[in-house]
Amino acid sequence: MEDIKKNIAELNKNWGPQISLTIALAALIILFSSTSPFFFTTGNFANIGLYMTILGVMAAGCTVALIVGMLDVSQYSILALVGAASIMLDRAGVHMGLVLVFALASGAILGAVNGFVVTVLKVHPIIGTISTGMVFRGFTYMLTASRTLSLNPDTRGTYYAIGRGSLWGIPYSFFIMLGVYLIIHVTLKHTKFGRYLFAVGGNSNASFLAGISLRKIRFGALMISGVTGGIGAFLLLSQVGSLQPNVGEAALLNVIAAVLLGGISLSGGSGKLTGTILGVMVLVVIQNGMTILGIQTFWQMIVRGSIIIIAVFINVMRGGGFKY
Amino acid sequence: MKKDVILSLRNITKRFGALVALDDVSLDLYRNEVLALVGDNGAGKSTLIKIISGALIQNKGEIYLNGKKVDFATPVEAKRAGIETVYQDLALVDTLNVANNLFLGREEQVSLLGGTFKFLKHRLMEKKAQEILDTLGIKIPNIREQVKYLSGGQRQSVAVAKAAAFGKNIIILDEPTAALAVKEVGHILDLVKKCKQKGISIIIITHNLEHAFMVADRFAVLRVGKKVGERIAKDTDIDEIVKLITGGTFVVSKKGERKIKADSM
Ligand SMILES: Nc1ncnc2c1ncn2[C@@H]1O[C@H](COP(=O)(O)OP(=O)(O)OP(=O)(O)O)[C@@H](O)[C@H]1O
Ligand SMILES: [Mg+2]
Repeated sequence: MEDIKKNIAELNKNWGPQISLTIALAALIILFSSTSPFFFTTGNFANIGLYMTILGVMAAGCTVALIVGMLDVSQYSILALVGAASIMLDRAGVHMGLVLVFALASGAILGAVNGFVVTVLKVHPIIGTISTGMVFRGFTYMLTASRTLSLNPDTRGTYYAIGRGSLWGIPYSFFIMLGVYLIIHVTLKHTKFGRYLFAVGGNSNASFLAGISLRKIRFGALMISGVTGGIGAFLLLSQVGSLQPNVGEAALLNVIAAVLLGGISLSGGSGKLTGTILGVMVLVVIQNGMTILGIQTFWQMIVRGSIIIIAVFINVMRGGGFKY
Repeated sequence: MKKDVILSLRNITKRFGALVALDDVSLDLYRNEVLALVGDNGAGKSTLIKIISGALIQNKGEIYLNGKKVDFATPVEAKRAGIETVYQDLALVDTLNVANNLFLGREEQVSLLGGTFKFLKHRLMEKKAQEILDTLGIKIPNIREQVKYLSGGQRQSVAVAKAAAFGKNIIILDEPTAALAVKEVGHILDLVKKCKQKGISIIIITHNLEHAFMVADRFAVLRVGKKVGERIAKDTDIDEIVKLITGGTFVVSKKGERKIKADSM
């Protein structure tokens, strides 16, 4: 009996958020399936799979930044700017492969701008990335002249082949997202850089005394977060084919909501990708279910906002509030 | 036996703005001795050992290691010279496990594709971590446990073990027994003795003179940034050290414990 109790405590300590999220996810699926005939269908699941990819990729990057104790709120602005520039390259006749490389590289560069602002200019990450996000967004409006941009109609098909294509009913985008999770997982668990992300987030003084360059680690984390914004941009183009300069402005908090829901602590030093992906799934299923049920947008906003508060509350109860 | 100086501090001065934390302090550390560095709160003990370990840089003065002048710009340089420090504010990362903490900053890696990819050798490090703890007789139920779930004594033991395992020349311990239960204090002091048996020199800072007398060969006393005395442990006693620390006054509490009283505030 003691043993069982101990094991349960152990399980809760290590996997608490994952377990509760899995239960929540199952409950939501049952709820929506029983209230709408359109929810539990392969078509809708493919839809959910596709819809969660952009959010999922960016949430993985956001998790990396949060493990170091930094909240990056500029990701959707990076997505917008990289996306706008990518469409312009496409329209100028640049091959899709090069556009992809550009999206990754420019995501990394904008992430490096964040890194510079936070580690060199020493601006607090939240303030820093709100500000850079504003700057990136401004450039996006400038580039697009505030209009919606679309891919060249002649090349659009090759993008759609990736963004809308699927294998065994699973969208390619979903595999791309899994690839991103795999790479980040290996980085976090099996490389020195990954270990140092946790160390710096957990105790920056101890890390410094152990000879770790705090600046390098924080810089690197923000670059990864930026790259996932770039990947998000490429996924968006290949799924939708066009980009509005205000893309993601309303979705800004979705990434953060998903990550916090996943039990990633705001105080840094811990975080599991399994939590992140489950957080993303719960959030996307709630949104999808509400849309299918025809629930009005304002109710959806109220629900989403409340979810964030509940997620943060649970997080703080588990001892993961902000350190600042 | 001729005394062999391993570390020599010459005329060290350290200022924080207008505050003179260390004023012209000279001090020698001999090979294979335990030196207790004592003094009142704010006397400059932590500042002095931070200078030795490269975490702070002195304004004036020189440091010689084995007769050679050294300038440690970072803690890593001091570590490379075989000086390991356990800082007062406990230099462990709570969210990492015991093994990860022991190897923080000196991870073992395997190279793939000619060094293009490098991955951590988890198993090797865990095995070595267990060996480190075993040789020092430290019992931690699970070295994969995050440090935040350990008791104060266990955490302190891990921190000391880290220094003991990697300090080739000198180990510095800043208040390793603060806030520990009697049994755990005994453990830490045993660890200090074990390190000494390995031929290492140790500087230990403590406010508890009974603890200091249990392990120290020699005492160095700081008062408001100045070195006011050095004594061989077996030629002195607590009363004399207390007098040096306080500048003459001390009170004996009801239970007979000696309490250090600040001479001027
Ligand atoms: N980083 C710093 N900036 C400014 N002043 C400092 C700094 N570090 C220490 N001091 C000051 O220098 C003096 C010596 O401090 P130090 O920490 O070396 O004392 P200590 O002997 O270790 O005391 P304690 O026994 O309380 O740990 C104190 O007056 C302290 O306030
Ligand atoms: Mg001190």
